[in-house]
Amino acid sequence: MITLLVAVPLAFAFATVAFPKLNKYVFPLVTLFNLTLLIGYVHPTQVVEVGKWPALYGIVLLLDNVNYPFLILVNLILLAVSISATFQDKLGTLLIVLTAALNGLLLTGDFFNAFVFLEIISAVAYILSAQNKNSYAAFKYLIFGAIAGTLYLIGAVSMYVYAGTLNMGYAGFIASHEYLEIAGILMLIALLIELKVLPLGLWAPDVYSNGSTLTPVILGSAITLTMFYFYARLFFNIIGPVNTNLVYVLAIVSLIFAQLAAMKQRTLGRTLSYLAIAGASTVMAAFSAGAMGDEKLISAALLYLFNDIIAVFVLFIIFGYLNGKGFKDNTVAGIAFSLVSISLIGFPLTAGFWAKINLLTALFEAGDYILPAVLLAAAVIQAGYLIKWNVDLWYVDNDSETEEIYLPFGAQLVVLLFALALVVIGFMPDLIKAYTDKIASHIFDFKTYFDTILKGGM
Amino acid sequence: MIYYIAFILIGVGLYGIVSQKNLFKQLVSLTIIDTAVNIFIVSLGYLDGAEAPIYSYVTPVANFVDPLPQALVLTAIVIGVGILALASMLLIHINEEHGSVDVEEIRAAKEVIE
Repeated sequence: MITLLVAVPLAFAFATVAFPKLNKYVFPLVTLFNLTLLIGYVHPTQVVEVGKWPALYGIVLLLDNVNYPFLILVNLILLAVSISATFQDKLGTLLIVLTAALNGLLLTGDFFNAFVFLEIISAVAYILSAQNKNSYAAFKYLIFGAIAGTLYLIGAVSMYVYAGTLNMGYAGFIASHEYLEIAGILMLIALLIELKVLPLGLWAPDVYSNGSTLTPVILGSAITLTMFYFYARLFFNIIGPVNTNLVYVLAIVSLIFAQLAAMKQRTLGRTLSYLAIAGASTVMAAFSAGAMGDEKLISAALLYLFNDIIAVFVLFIIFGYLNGKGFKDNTVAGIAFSLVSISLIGFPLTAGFWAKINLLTALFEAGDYILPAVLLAAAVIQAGYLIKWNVDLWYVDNDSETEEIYLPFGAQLVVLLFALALVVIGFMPDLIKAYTDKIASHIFDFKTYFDTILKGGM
Repeated sequence: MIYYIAFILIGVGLYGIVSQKNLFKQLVSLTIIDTAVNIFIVSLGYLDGAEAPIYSYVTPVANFVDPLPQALVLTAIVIGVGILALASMLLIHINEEHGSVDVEEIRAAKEVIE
């Protein structure tokens, strides 16, 4: 059944090549089908050996307690995109292919299969980045992404050399940690590029701020979330921690630089781009701090990640449509923007508050005082520029001769629902925390993962 | 020996990407890296004196090179060609938007617009 999560979007993507006008109906239906399948028909734990080849030789798809919540959130975001975004017909097929690739990367248990899905995701991301006459930024992203892909490929092949298999579970079981670490370093650099941790993420500001409405929404939410899952799967579950101190320092430097850069920006697009980089860097720093098996810290980092992804999604949708235009004619967009800003600042009784307080508590308990100090300083800077932008956008002069722009109804609905979700989570944080705790308790458990693979399709 | 060739080519490609101001030359450098990686992967499965991995009457004993890296390289080549085509399309668009594919000239053109 779980193969349908990849097969159905892929089949419809091919089918709609000849009928691009159908995409606006097919894309929501495909994402809705995926969500229905995930919520109603498939549950962890399931393994599919593709073509009935034993896992050691073939490709396996695996659904467990770690990737299940990620799959639901990614498909929910894609459904929201399909409702909210008035994308061009030609992009619809791409988005359906992206749905298949994201689900594939979330499900796969094979290093090379993951490389193929990574490259499909990258190719879609390059095309989305090039929209709105942004080809130069897209080309820069392509160069960074292609080097990332190459490094990942060398890492995956090295894994085959050390373990004699491309299956993640078997490779983790067979190869010694020193060998896994060498391949892991290459994969780590590749993922740091994709996760836009500075300086490896220097491609991101131009791509996020100048592309089409869809570009930052897709790249900053669904793709980032999937990459973080893949990072966690590789470096907590399969390979084990690699160069955590270096990544920790890099992520903290990236966080500080991104927040300072966000404060300095004069356009909303670039501010939000650096805000997204700062969010990803915070999660990466927290992941590195908890990489040695601190479940509480990883759960807190995941809560922060989910909150950040939803917030970034809402902010980029509003920016994409209104492009810095004020909220006087777009009250719903304004309310959603302000609610999300309040949550990001960490105002009590919002999801952002619980994300921050949980992370700080877990860090203090782990004896880490550097990241909390940086986080608190970054929160003050973030509060400063978010309040400034809220004031600017609510009180911007709308009497100018600029063309009136309104958020489409679908987009209004989605941003309001997502913003309200952050408030609801603020009152009932256990709604999300139950899932993050579950992920954190399973992500370090290699034995269960390997046993599941061993059982195969049985 | 063939590993060294692959690593030297990767070095040449990386140098090209970092040092060249012309985006087309950067793209060529990227394809050099791609090719180098493919050579590296194929070389991993090579066994001295072994046959091509095809069962036939001239190879009754399966003294084969490892076929898996070859299969991986085939996929990697296809993906590489796709990315190369995409990058070429982007270069054409860059040339149409900025009138050049040189980084400094693009920056100068952008400053004029701003």
